Amino acid sequence: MQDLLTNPAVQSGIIPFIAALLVGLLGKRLGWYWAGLALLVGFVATVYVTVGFQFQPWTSTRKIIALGFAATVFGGLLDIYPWSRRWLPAVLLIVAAATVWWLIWPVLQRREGLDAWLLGVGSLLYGGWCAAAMESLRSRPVHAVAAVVALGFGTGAVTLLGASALLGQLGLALGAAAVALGLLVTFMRNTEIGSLAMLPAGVLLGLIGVSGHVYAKVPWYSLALLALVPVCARVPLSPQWPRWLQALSALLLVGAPAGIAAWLVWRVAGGVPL
Amino acid sequence: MRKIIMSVIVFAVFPAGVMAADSFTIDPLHTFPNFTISHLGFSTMHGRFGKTSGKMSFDEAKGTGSVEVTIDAASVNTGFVKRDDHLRSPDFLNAAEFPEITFKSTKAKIGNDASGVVEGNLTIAGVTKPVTLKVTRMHCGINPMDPKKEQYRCGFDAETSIKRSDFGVKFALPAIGDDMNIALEVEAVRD
Repeated sequence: MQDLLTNPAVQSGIIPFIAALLVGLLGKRLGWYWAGLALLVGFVATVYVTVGFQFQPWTSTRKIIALGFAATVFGGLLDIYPWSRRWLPAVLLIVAAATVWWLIWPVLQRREGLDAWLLGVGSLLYGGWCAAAMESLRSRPVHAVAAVVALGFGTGAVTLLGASALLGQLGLALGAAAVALGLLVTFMRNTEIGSLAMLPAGVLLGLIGVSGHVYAKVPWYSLALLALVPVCARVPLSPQWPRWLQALSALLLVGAPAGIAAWLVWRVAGGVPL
Repeated sequence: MRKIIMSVIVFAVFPAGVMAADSFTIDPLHTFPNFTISHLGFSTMHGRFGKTSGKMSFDEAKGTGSVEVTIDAASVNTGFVKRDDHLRSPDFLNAAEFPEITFKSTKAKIGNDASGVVEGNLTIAGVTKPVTLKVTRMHCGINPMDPKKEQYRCGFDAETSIKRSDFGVKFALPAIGDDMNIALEVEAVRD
């Protein structure tokens, strides 16, 4: 059993998938947006079997995990209270950018000149964009879950190949959890996921991508390609199509930039570091 | 008159033993922390850090002293670039966030047989834990390669064993070993 739990494929594939499926099924019965909690629970299950929940000293990975929890609370509040969403994308962009600043500050403070500006502005834009763009997909569950699958597996793959297996596992865990949630959304009518799912997914995957670039060796252009995932998820699909065909089409659309991003990193960095 | 008064004050404040300790600067060309760790239980992987700096003091008569070594975490080298990149990543040393590994002694005692112990605090990835180095060999003298025969240096070999999980480095446990054996080769030139 111990061997099974220490297998990276089980840790970041099977465990988050099963955890997310169980929570998704339970959440669907409870109603509201509870099914969306499946994404965070899948992620948390992987955190539990890999790095645990120790938060001192603050490291980039621990900051990511803590910010994932905070984003879930914030996402839940957005679903509970009928605040005006007019300025929400701008607010999310700014808040997410602030979290990115906190994440990369240890490195940013040692950089100088143009190098520091490029790293800072690029990272803030990517983190902010992922949070705001992914959250904006909340009302279209099929497209939203497809985007999390692609961004999760894409981010996981590029960070895994870019020399951080741990960050890779965390990204892959979100992808695996999104597959479970995608099954519910596809085959169980009226499964809503809300900001409760999409905000933490966007924040976590944005931060993992930034961390992979700053603390491992993920090239910037692979993140630029991953940033296209939420854009591709907005391509309209015919509502006349069966749900499974919509899900498959959405996956193909969002999978293209994620797949190319992973392929580019593989060409530069080679195989998995283990 | 002032010089005489200052001298009296200095000798009154500092005991003769402390005054006798010489200060040294670590020679980075002859100071390397080496380590070994189990790789998936199949073999023992060897690695070393290429960049070190620091200071040392040593009282030869008493066999006491102190040492402070700073190791550049990014200088890790196992002979395989891809693996070195992985070791620098947040999975292990987290070198971008915690660029320095440090050792600061709290107590050192070298016996007449040139062996002894150095107790101190080791900091890896922002976590500090006490460790005890076992000094297996120490030698001080004029560097025979110095053309002027003036450079005085001390060197020692030391070893210890730590658990990386104690320092929060828990990735891929237990597949990649928890126990790390560390062997230090240190040389320092008298200031």
